Amino acid sequence: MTTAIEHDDRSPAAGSPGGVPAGARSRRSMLALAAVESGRLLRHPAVLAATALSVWLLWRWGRGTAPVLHYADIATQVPLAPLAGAALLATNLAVLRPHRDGAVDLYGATRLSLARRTLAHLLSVLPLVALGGILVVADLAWLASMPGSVGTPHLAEAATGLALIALGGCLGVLLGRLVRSVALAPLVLVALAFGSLTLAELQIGGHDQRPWTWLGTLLRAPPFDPPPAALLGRPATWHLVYLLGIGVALAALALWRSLAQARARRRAQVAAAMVLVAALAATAAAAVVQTRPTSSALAERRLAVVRNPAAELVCQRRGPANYCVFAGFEPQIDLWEPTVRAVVAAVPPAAAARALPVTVAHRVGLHRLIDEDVNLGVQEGQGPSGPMVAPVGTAWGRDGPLFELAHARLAASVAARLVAPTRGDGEEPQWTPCNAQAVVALWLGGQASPQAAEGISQAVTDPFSEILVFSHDPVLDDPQWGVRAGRFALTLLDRPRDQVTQTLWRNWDLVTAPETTIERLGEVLGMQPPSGADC
Amino acid sequence: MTTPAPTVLARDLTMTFGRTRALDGVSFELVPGVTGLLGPNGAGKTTLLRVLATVSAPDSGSVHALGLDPRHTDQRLDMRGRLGYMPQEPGFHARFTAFEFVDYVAILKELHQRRARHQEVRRVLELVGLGAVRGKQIKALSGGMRRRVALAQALLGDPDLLVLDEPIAGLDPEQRLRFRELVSQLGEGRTVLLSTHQTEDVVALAQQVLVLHLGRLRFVGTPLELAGLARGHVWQSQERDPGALAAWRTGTGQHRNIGNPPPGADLLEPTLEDGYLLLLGGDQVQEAAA
Repeated sequence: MTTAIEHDDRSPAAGSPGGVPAGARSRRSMLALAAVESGRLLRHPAVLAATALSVWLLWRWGRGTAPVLHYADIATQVPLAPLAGAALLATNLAVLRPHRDGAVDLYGATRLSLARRTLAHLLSVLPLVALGGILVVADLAWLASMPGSVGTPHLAEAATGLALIALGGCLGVLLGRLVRSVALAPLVLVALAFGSLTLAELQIGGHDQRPWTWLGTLLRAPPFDPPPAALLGRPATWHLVYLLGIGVALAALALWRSLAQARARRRAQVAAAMVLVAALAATAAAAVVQTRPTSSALAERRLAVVRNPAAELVCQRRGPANYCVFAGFEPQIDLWEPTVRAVVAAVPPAAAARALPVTVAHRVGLHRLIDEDVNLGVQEGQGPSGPMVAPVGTAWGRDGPLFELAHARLAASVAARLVAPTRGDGEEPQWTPCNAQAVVALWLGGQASPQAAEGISQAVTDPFSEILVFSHDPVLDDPQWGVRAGRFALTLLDRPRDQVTQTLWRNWDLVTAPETTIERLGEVLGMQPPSGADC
Repeated sequence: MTTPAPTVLARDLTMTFGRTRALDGVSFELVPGVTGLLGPNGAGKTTLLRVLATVSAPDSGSVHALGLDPRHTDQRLDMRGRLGYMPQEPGFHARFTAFEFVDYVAILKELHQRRARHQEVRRVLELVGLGAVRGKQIKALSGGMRRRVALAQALLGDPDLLVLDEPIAGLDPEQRLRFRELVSQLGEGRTVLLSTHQTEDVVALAQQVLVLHLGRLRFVGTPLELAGLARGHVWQSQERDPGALAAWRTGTGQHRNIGNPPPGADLLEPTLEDGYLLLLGGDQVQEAAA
């Protein structure tokens, strides 16, 4: 049995028309081939479709989240996954092109070696990586230009999506060099997507609880309001090294395979094998480091923040409110201020004067990054920060459900503090979530903005909620609301604002008294309250 | 007149696929000009051309072409730089345009300077008469145009040795004529080895003929010498002669018979096809006798 002859790179003695040494000529031809292949890769239908999908995902992700750049960088990774998948498929098809089209003989009579062709295919992925880079930079620049943008992107987090694209391309090339079937790459892609998404779902609870999930590739940001960067503790740099190590290993394996197939010189094969071993060593080291448990110092700091967030907050007075935020998040106060002012404006001035200033405090779901068996020292439904706080998160975007819920959460919480103020130092507010007080507070919250009103509507009509909440984290000290009160508030929000305002202001002490029932409020307003239990 | 120095020397080439001997001790020399390689299906023509094009290495034996020995990698690379190969099935990338395809092969042939390469691609496409359709996707080209694209890529770099595997197969008469004209021009000053089933192509183009059958080289010589093999073995008769190895009715209504003529037969001037058929048919007769 005979085999097709390939060849390795040879000495300068080999033909060198134009006075160009054979080695240089071969390298330049390889770069020319890489340029042609990258052009075809960028025009490949799978890549075009994936690019459109990635752009949409980035826009969709950015649209509904707060411009917290040290969190937004993580959110660029999953949207680039389609490009990584497309890179896998398209490079695999390109590598297999001579086999698919029966051009093996034609290629076999040409000078450029199989290894150089493999290298050209690997290099052809770089422009696609650059395209991903442009998307990431554009996305982060877009977010950074938004009002209230805070934080600084982490280079490794922002580069992780790009490493995924490179990884996909290298895997496509390797599969093409190992198996001459176009059916393999789609199967591998499906398996990888399934595995990665499963790991990502396991991971979103926080890496501390399942550090081994970092051995996957797609690592979504945990779905809570972004905390300060120092408290995140993601091993982003090591994860990037891990992914790059795998990518280089795949590339070296593809190259070694090509050299072996071509029976190239042993020296070249040994060099490829050494790169492979080095890449595997780097990958293994990064895998070990990235799956180490969180340092005790970071764990203690997180716990301290959860137990006593006030100690970490910096406060500043603006108009009717004190805003207390984690350091660095001050620009976001500008986002919250119009909502607070609008709610205050809907309250009788005298009543507002008694209640103000209200404290608006920054809350994040950091407790999700703390081991489940650690006692947070917080009772469910009772926040750790004291009663005089209107919690606000950083899930603040331009539009969309997250934004509306965030608006509603802040507006309703501020309103709750205004209708149930403390009567003296250290006194607990008399908050009754199932009485008239709750209806009035929700109505006031709905006056803040159309988005707040929409958020209240979403929360009230959520069929899975037995109680009305705007944040599902019990430790975030959000007020709770009865569903019946919510339904009544929605009816009230549909009525003319001036008419309702006049009636409520005339009867303010009555309708905000803790003991006033929903039925009594209905009598005052001349409306029939919705049926059902109060809570 | 002196005989030109051989540009290709093949010695005792042997190649086996499983139990099949595709090449069995094949030796020959090629000189500048067009050489026709004749043989029935399965004769080993494509295998021989793949060896000459350095796509395959023989199990044993040697080839020296253009003074180079492809067993040495450096020389094989040099040889690839100086030969043009048109496989029987080139394996077109259907979504490439004609220009892109030839340009791609040019890169594989290490024509690395972009501008010079593009000039060369345009030159060979013009040479085969495809300059006007170079921007068309290959899938939109006719079969004849595709054959010309395949020839164009073989002409890249103005090679000294052209190895063409059935380049004229499937072409209509007009296209065949153009192809013959082109190959004839190419044969001036360079060595062209052209495999075909069509004896008339060899008659029209070749100064030398190789006949390969069952992996063995049965004949090396000029077309006249091949035709001469049948001298005294071709005759015409009113009816098909039952003793003939092959016989067919011609346009005159007479039967043309090839074989051992009966005494007093009306002998005809043999053609290259007669010689070729006799060569293959005689072999079959001998095999049957054995």
